[in-house]
Amino acid sequence: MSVLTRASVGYLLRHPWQLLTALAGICTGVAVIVSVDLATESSRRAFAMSMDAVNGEATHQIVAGPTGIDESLYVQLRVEEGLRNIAPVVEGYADVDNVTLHLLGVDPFAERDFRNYILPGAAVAAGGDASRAPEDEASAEDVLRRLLTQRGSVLLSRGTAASLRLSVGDPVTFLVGGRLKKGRLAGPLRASEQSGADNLVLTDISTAQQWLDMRGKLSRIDVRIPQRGQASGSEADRLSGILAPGVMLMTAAGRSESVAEMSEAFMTNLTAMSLLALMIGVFLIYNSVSFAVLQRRGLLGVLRALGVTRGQVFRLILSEALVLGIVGASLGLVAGVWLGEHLLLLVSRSINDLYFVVNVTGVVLPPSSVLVGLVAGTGATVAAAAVPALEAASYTPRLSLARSVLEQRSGRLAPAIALAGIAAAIASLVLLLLSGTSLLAGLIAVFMLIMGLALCVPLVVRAASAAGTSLAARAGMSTQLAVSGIGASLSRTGVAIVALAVAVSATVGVSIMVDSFRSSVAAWVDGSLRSDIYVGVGRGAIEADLVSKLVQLPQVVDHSSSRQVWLESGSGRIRLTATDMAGKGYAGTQLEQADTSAVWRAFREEDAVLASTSFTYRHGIQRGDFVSLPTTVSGNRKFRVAGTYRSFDADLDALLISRRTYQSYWDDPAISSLGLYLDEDARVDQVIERIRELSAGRQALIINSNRELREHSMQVFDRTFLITGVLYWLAVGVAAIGILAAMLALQLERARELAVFRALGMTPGQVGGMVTLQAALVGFLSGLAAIPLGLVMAWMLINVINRRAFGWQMDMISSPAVMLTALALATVAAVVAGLYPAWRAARANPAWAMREE
Amino acid sequence: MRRLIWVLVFAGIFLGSSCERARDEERRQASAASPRLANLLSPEDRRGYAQALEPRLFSFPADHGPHRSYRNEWWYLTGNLETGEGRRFGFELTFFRFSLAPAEAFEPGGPRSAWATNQVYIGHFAVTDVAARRFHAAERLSRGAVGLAGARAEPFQVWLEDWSLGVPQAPEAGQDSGRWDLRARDRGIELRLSLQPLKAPVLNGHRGLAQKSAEPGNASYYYSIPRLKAAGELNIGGEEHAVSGLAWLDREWGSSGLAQEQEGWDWFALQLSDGSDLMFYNLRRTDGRQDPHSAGTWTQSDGRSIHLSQDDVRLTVLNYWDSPQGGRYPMGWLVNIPRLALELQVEPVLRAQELRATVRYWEGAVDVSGRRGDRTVNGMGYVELTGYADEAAADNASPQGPR
Amino acid sequence: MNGEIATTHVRLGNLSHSYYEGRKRHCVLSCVDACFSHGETVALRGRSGSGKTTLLNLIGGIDAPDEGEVKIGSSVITAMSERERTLFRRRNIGFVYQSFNLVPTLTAADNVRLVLELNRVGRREASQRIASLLSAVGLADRQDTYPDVLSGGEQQRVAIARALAHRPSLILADEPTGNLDDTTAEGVLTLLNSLLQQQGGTMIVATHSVAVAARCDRVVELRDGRLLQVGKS
Repeated sequence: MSVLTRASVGYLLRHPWQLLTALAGICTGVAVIVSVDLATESSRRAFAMSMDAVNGEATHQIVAGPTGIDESLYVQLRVEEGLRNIAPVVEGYADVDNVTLHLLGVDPFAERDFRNYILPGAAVAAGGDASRAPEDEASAEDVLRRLLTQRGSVLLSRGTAASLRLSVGDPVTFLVGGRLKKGRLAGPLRASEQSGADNLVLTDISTAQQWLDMRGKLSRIDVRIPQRGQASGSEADRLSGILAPGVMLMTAAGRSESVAEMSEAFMTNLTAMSLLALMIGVFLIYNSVSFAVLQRRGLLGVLRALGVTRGQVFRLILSEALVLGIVGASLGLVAGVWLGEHLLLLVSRSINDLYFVVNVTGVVLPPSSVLVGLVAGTGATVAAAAVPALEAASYTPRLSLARSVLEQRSGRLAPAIALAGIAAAIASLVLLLLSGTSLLAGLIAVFMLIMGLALCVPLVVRAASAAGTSLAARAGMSTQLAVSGIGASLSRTGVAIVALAVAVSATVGVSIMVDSFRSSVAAWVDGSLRSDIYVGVGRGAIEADLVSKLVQLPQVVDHSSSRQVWLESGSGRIRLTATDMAGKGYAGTQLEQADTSAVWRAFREEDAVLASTSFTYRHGIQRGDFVSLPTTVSGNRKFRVAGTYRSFDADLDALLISRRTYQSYWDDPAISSLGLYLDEDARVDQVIERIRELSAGRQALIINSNRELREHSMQVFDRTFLITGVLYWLAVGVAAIGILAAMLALQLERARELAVFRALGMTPGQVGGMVTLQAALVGFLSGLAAIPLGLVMAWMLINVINRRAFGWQMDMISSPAVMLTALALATVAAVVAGLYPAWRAARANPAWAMREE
Repeated sequence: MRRLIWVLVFAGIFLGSSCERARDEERRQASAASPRLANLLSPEDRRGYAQALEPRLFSFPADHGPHRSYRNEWWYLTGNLETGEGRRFGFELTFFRFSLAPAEAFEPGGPRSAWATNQVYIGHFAVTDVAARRFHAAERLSRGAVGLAGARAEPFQVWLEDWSLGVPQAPEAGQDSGRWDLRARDRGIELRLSLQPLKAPVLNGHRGLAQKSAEPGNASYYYSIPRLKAAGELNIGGEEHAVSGLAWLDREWGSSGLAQEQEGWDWFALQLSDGSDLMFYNLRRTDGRQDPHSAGTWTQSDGRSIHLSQDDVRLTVLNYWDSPQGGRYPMGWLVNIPRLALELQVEPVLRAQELRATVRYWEGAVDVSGRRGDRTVNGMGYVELTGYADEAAADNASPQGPR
Repeated sequence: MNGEIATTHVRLGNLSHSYYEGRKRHCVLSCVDACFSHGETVALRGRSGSGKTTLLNLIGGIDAPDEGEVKIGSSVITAMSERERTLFRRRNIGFVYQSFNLVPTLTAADNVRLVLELNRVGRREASQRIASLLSAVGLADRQDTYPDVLSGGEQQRVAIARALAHRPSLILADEPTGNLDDTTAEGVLTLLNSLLQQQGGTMIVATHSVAVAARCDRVVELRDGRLLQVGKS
């Protein structure tokens, strides 16, 4: 180790607080990034794995409309066309013990080229010796025999069977489409652990058809076309040519993607949130490294005088930062994994609430997350250190450099930095205007704007401090000293103030966004939910004669019915809701058009659809445009968009169609939910009780009163934003560490000054109080600066990020309470962070003042 | 007499993946799973099925169709074909049907999916290209439901996906003519044949009841149409050939299991130039002796047949062939039937006619030459050899299947 | 004349320097001309704020003049880039400060070693030089001591060892005894002089101290931005 390096190490070790806060900043920033990355990656991977498990080796899939494919198509392709590389699939969901599993009905004979789940695994094969317990391992012959000849025979992965405490031959009851189905474990799925097969219930296609009420239908036909360049394309083309209109050949990857895409915007927002934490971390790192430089400026000047070049100084500071960065990032990695496991629960629950079924069975730490964490951590550290390192290198090798010169310079720099900030803010606005609907550009613009405005904070603080000093003069000497100290020591406090301001503004912005969002959603839910009772099934359709029994209940005066289906269109998955509305129900759909009667007439009488605002925003579609939808009856057909309606649905691409139009193009009479309007005198709970009686033993219906459904909707909303809450508290934590570091820095810096105060007769309490007051002021100023910053951020989150990500439109609601809370939060955080420095300052030994210089 | 074949083929379902995606692991699995097959077909499994206990009255065309109350059944068609230029081909198309559960055990209960069935079909299709010295074989499995595979008596049809045998679909083809059509294709090979029986069905064994061991019920109903005129097209290697020749149909059904002491058999179906046809199966016991239940049928050109017992036929192996997959097959025989003054030498047209399907066995076209009494006779035929494949050796040999 | 040129070590030609305080310009040096010969020790006197430190900074290449030339030996350092000046300084100049300016996180020995390492002196030789220098300044037993435990005199003696370690031809000292009591100052001065004589080098000492000036070969004084020859004190 060179003497120069030794001097560095010696410095860092002598200032453990400095070292710790820098490490904590890096560590927290990296931990947040890694944990979010890990949680989203694990969810994505779990989803991809379960899709892989379901798709197997299929390269393509033949799919059709909501009612599925006629099974005769499969027979035609096999027997008449002689196609061999195809396999029929009937799929759906089956709940057991409150876990939703993917029910996959297959033809074992066609499976060999697609999924290898039915044959025994290597472990079983090795068990050819008689020593294996025979009751545990069903023989392959028995498994196949049971699967084909015993209705309800299912295969589960060993892991799933174990978690349900099932052994081969045990009965197991599934809830499929609201009905209880008696199954029996015929054997284990032949799949390795962690392969995504843990989410599967494999049955013979005949069982699946019966359970899912899909006799005569297939969900899809898997196709395996070996990927050999041109040939595979032409084979796909040939196959497409055979298919009837309304039946489509899609690539398996494309179809999985279109499902996965539904949650992409959600995940992107999480990632953006984690970057915010890192950004705050960067401020913190900058803070620590700057301080380490500033405190050594005398020493660095001497070194320069002794002949150390600028380059050597720059590299010295940077390598210090690099080491800090690597150590901090590594610690952050460990903390991130721990945090990620907890975050994963929240994330996967939200995905299940909002998008699709995914059972995240294991936390995977993808190498990319590790890399991202390390690179982001060390990169941010080095980048943050570059500025102070440059500054250190710029020190002229003076024999002594008074701090006043430095503060003057920092003061002079403030307007320049503010100017740069304004430029960044303007650039971000330009970017916003030019970038259309790009979410990424939107996120970049938000960061630029926040950064830009944050850079103006030092100037504001200086002005505030200057103005405050004269005011504070009346409050006494120590107050005056505290106030002027902030403005005068901008070189250290500036960064801390910016960091805290950004963190607090994030809480302000996110709070306002969530509040606005929540109240918009609540208003929307209130407006949308018109019926007194809602009846539905988990997945599938309500039995037809049950429907007629329910609507004929004496208390029911009117009803709406709807059927939700997913269509695969060229631009992804579209949710189509076919509805037959009761008279009162129309008001529940909040049209954006004024001439509602014309819109509704078109909706009822023409082949028209209504589009959600998300759909129109995402696809740039307006009223009067046409959307092409794959119909069952007449292939692809264009439907006019008669109007648009407000929606906060997680399903972004949503269309509304009248039952009549739907029936004529899709020939699907199924009803998936019912809204019942009751007689004014009827008691809701009595009617619900009656519905339970009627459905008992037939179909497990999900029955909600209007109030319950509202509450449930808001619960899902709150659960989703729990993650946001966790993330912004972490951001505040990071910022508080920043304040602690800054106050410690100031206090160390001013040790002699404080000692002089003590020597002059100030009591320890007065010195401590002064430092605490200063911390409080720093916090207060940050909080003050954070309010406009937070408002801007909220506006951006609402009008740019949410709009671009989800197409949602909401009204911004900013309550004074949020802002006051922010002010209080910043002040309290700063005071708490300033306690230790104040305690240390109070203990300042007056004798230090007498030592040297 | 292909009782064991279906047992082995049944096993094939489970070992199925080795067929198309042979992997080391699965090969091992194949050998490991084999011992269980005996259990699968243990006597109690026969409960609920009809048994072949005594001779029955055969009735055609009804008996060409399926007999679902029996556990297992097959349609076995082999033949030798030639192009106009004398290019020689052999072919085999087999449909196995079996029940996974007796009809009454297969509870109906409520509205059922069309896919629900206890019937499973397996098919083997092989073509021997003598000139190119190549042997192509394929295997298919399917449930007997939804129209994917099945069999019916009138009009007779048995099919598995796009492989089929039966009365022509088109009505104008004349259903009374007794003509059948055969269609099969697989990876670049397509065979379309029109088949016209030249002889009436011949009942093998004791009036069609072929006893396989001393145990009652361990028997099957067994008839053959030993001579059918075949004509049609064979598309192979991108070339279309007009072909014609003679084919042989074997039909058998029953519910019996596997006799423990039997190891395999050698089955001969020879069509001679004098218009007579010889069928003989030699059951081999694990102790190396010939099983006394070995038997055969000799059918004269006028259609009259004579039952042959074990004592009537003397077989002498002339040569052997080592399968690259393991196992040593006899290859070339002297067949001596003193009772008929028949002395024949049987030679394969190609040695490598081993079906490396899920279960390996040899089934191939042969040439016949020799004499009957004073007169020279020759002919063609098919021979089936089972129980020779050495699975353990196969594990060590080539884990990667030939295809 | 030739003789004089041959022995001239440092030559200042028409040196001017000023600094700004806000918008107000303060002229520190104007048209300073001077020669310092090889091996001589010169005391630089002047009142506080007269520009002594500025002049030393200019000579040491730490700062660049507004106008004029500084020539050390045959090198015109005012014509050099910042980096060249730094490297020149590293090799040829030793500094002694009033406030010692030792690196607090390095031991006495390491403080000396720092300069040697910058000049790429081999490890073994560096250790020998450090040992001999520290024993010469009377701190042989304090090698591994950190500066904050040393007294002012001891710190300055380490600083002297550091200034001389790489055998610079020019020593620039800024009030080297300013923080020391008279007795200690006397000891430090004696030490500095004797070591300088052993090594042979030029020294310019900025000082108020009459005692310091008395030990120098000649004395010059800065007054109103000009350098006046005071002659042998």
